[in-house]
Amino acid sequence: MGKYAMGVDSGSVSTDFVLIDEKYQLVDSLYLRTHGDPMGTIAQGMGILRELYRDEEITAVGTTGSGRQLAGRMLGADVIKNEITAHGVAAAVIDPEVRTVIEIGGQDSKIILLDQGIIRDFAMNTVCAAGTGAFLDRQAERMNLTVDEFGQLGLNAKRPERIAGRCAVFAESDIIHKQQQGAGRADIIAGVAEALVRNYLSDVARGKKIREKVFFQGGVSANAAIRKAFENALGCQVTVPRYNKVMGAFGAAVLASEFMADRKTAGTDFRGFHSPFEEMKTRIFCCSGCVNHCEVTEILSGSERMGCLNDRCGKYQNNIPQ
Amino acid sequence: MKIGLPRGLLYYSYEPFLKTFFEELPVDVEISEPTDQRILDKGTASCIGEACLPVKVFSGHVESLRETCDKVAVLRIMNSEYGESFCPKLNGLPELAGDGEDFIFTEPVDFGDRSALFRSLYRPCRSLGIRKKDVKRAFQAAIGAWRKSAEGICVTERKYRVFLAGHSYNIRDSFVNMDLIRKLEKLDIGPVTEQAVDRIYKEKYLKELIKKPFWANFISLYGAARYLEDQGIIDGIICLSSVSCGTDSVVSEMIRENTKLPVLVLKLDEMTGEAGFDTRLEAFCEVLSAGKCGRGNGRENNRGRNPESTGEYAGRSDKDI
Repeated sequence: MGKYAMGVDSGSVSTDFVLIDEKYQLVDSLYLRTHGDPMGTIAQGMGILRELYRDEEITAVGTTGSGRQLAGRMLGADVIKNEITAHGVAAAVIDPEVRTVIEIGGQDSKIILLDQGIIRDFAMNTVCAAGTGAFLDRQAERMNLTVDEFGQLGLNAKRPERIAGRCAVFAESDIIHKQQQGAGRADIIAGVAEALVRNYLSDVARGKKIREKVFFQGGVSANAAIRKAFENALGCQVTVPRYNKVMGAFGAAVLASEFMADRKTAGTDFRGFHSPFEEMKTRIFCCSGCVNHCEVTEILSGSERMGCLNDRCGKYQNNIPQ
Repeated sequence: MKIGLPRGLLYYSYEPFLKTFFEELPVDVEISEPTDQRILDKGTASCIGEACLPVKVFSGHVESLRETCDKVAVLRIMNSEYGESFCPKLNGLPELAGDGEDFIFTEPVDFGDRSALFRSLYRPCRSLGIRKKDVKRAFQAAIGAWRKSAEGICVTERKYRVFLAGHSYNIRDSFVNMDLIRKLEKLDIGPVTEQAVDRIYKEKYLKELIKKPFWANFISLYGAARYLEDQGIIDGIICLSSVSCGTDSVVSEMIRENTKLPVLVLKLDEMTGEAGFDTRLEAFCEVLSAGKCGRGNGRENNRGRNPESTGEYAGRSDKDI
């Protein structure tokens, strides 16, 4: 019987699950597409993992990603951590020499600067999501390619096309225009990759000193064309670490494991693989307590309230029946 | 006759003065309620699209006051009490905030010149038939209240202390900043704002720059940031900035370049999701804690033990299922 810490990264495009042992070695991982249904995807993941592991083997649970609160409440997580910390910690565990982490996910991109394994500075894309995974997904789909083929094809470019990267809408009309001019798919993909990198460096990484060693992780790091464009722009080697697509979940598992090691008392709050995840649902209601009219999300298992999210005043969040 | 005073923009900087002045006048005065979703919705509907969030919020306050008041006081504030300039949007506020038919007190207001300040406030009062004697009395009371006031936030008995740099109208409007002060409290971070630092100390640090900055908020924020850093009072700096605000973007860059402390820039916009905001704050708290412990809770002893030599990455994906 193993003793594993589980990390779950509930993101916009994918929901990732990672199991690590006490030495922070990855034992198993799962990368599922969220398809706009974070709860259903978590239930699906639990359905797969329950065939392979027993509840007693899980000693700690951590959640991260934009859906971390929801995932945390569903699973009974010990640690609910932001994705910046999770990604930074994950990179530092894999290689303590890492100084810069470039993370591009489905909806946001980040830069994390580390020093001796500690996060010293970070930045995240602001309002605009141009040049993140969701945009690449859409372009791949338009060209009738899978995301992996999309990246591979870009490596064959001879003369990358110049694509406007500031805005996804303009980029798309630029791409269509270039296609109609007869540009090859490979050149266009390489152009998209360059535009994305340009945008990243001038927006997210603006004013940040990028030091080697550089890690590139998050869903988009699987795209070979983008990695190459980063190397060209930075003039240094960019490493895509193992577990690149599930680094957030890996970091959450490490954080949960560390947390439980410190806590010592009582075991994990994990509800167990056999909890009725499939029956959990959310109900969104509009609170009329004040003029803010918060749209409160209520997580229900049957008719029992498991938790609430998204109320500004915290009236519902703090009133969870234990 | 009822005059409405919108709770927005420089109202927050000059609250003691403006509130006292209007309340002492022999007319009915209504100050709008703190910002809420209804006010913001009104503002985005009535204001030009390119305006920054605080101007939209201000328009919302104007619109909601119009429902109950005969006139709305939209002050055209030109200069600070030190003679420094405010953003052109504040200079042109009566034109920006709506159609202006029922706006009053739209004459240029200069807080740096006491007699000009009186004149600019007296003329609109005269048009309302208020006697000079009454205006004078209100003005004296307002000056007195202004002198006594010490606005601003200075919470020091927390685990971490940060300098919260930004316009008062962003810092003090808890709807616009998504309850930042309370969020900081939950993270055990004590905010200090520029009002806590005396003017003379701020000016000392401006000498480091190649020229004296132009904008009022640049001067106070930059000077305060450098002073608080030099004195070792703060562990980090949070710049609260409105998207598309020219002065904010320059100030946050200058602070970032000229201080050695961790800096977090939080951008405010009507589209800003609370999740991204919370993520940044939580991660910044980790950065502060790493800075404080020097070596981050000794966590790295644990790490790095992870050998590269493990077997293949046996990940599953939905393709395999």
